[in-house]
Amino acid sequence: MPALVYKVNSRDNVGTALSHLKEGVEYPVYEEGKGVIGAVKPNTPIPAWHKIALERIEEGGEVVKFGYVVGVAVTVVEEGGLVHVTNVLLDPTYDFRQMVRQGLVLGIASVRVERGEVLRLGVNVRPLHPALRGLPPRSRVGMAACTIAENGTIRLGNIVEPPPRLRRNERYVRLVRDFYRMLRAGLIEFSRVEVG
Amino acid sequence: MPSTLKAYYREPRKVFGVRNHVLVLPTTLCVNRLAESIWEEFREERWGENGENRVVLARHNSGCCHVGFDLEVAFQALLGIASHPNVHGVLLVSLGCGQLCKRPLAPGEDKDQNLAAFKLYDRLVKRGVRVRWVNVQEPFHGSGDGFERAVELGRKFVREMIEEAQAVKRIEAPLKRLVIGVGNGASDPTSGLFANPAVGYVADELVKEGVSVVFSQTTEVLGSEEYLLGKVADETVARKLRRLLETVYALKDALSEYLGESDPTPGNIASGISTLAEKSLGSILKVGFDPAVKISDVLPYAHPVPRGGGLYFMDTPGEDVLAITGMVAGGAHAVIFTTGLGTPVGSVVSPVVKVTANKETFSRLSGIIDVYLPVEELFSSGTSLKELAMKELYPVILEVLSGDRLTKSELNGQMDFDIRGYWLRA
Repeated sequence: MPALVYKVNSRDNVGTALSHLKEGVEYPVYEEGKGVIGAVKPNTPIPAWHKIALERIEEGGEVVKFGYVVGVAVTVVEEGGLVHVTNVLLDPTYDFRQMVRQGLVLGIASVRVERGEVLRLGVNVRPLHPALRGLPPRSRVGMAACTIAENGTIRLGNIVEPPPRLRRNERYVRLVRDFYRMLRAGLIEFSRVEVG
Repeated sequence: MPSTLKAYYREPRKVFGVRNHVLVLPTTLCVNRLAESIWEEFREERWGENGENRVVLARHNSGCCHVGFDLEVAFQALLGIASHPNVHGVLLVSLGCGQLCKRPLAPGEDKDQNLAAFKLYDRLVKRGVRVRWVNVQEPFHGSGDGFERAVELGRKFVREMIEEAQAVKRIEAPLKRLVIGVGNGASDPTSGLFANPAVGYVADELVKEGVSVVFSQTTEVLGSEEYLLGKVADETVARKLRRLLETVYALKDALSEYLGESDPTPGNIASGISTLAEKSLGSILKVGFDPAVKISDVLPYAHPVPRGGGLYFMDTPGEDVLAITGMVAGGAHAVIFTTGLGTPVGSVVSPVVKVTANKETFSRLSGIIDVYLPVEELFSSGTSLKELAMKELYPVILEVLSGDRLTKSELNGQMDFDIRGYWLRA
């Protein structure tokens, strides 16, 4: 496949990378039925078939693909950013309570959290998930894998290194296992997170 | 575009078939081998202008010890496949004691009191289907082993039906009397971006021609409720659809502990899919884009799809063979099936046209895939996906329907047939 970004519908604000796109290189954007309509410069490497933001998507903004809303961004995604589970997409078809129940949402950020910052209960995390209840105050929940806005959700997709107690929660473990398996396989990148 | 094609007319049923097969159908799984023995004699037999017709064998795993609703489902599926427009005649191979077998009556037993024992056979006769049957447990006239006699008798019936079938010729038929199914399986990123939308454009064109288009695979449409509910014809259909989707969601919720995977699955996420809505939209676009085309009805598994145009949704599992069986038993003359990774799937009585937009898959598996959509042309020559679909795919569908081209599934003898089950067997 050619190295370009494929935009399916004119209403879309994300495009699909038809092959691996390098950071900082300009690639043409091809819109279905129209041809090349512009260019976009990825601000992070985009793996093949992943989505790239064609314009800035605000926090809570809709992610449109195929001409339909496929998700909601929980943090700001800049033009050229990777749009995927890593930079937090909520599925509009799931209601919030269900997500909490399923362990997809752990809590809410009480203040803006920068990438790599440690998340602690009561400091910058308001707990929602049952697995977090009963933990002592200031317990470590994990580390932010990207910028999380104030009142943004803290979920599997945007934290790394959850504490041992959380890791014993069976339901949580299963979700984390799949997630980390992908992380190890290099399918998800956290290149900007300074671990340690 | 031509709105007629050459097809076989079935006088008593007033339907057109695009193939003229003779079907050997076991009514219970116990006689699969017997049915196969009958079929083996004719496995090289071909007739029709291009040798597109043959004796087909529908092996399956249903027909006995069904509990509750499953019996009704199996009955509908067997009835549907036996009275399929592409079938010239059917040989029912019965054991005798199965739930759907035509069983011998005991001396003094009144037929009217035991109608269930004849249900499948009688319904086929009533529909005007050319039907013969052999029954293993029925005492045959003459001597010798009963099983051998059943094979002999079955072969005799099939031979007769082949001779009748060979005399039937294709006549001019309106395209608008046909039913086409669409499906997808073994998908990859090219399916959602190119192959499914391309099939969508073809589906639009077919509906415009008056063809009924049916889609299915309920578990794969979850997540695109917004799209689907915006595409229904009226409130009754919307209610049916909502109820179906709620049931499937509840089921999925209840089974989530056992499924052990999130949806989208880790595999989906690894290939760039972020949400369930994105995943299912990529799959649902194969039903078409024309806002004027609405979903006319939501059908239960294997129920007849109304002929005469429109878009229909059938409740089937996401699994390829079960979904195709449901649509074909519902009367689909042919199925358009998209794939990314490649699958050999076919159907026992209907041609299955497999389409891929993945060049690598096509070059590796061209023995099982019919059409490659040259998507690189989109970027080199600036054609639209719609033009590409109408140029590369639509003519193939017409060729297959009129019997001028055999699909890879037919050439490979891919006689897939399997009926869905909801319950454990008793």
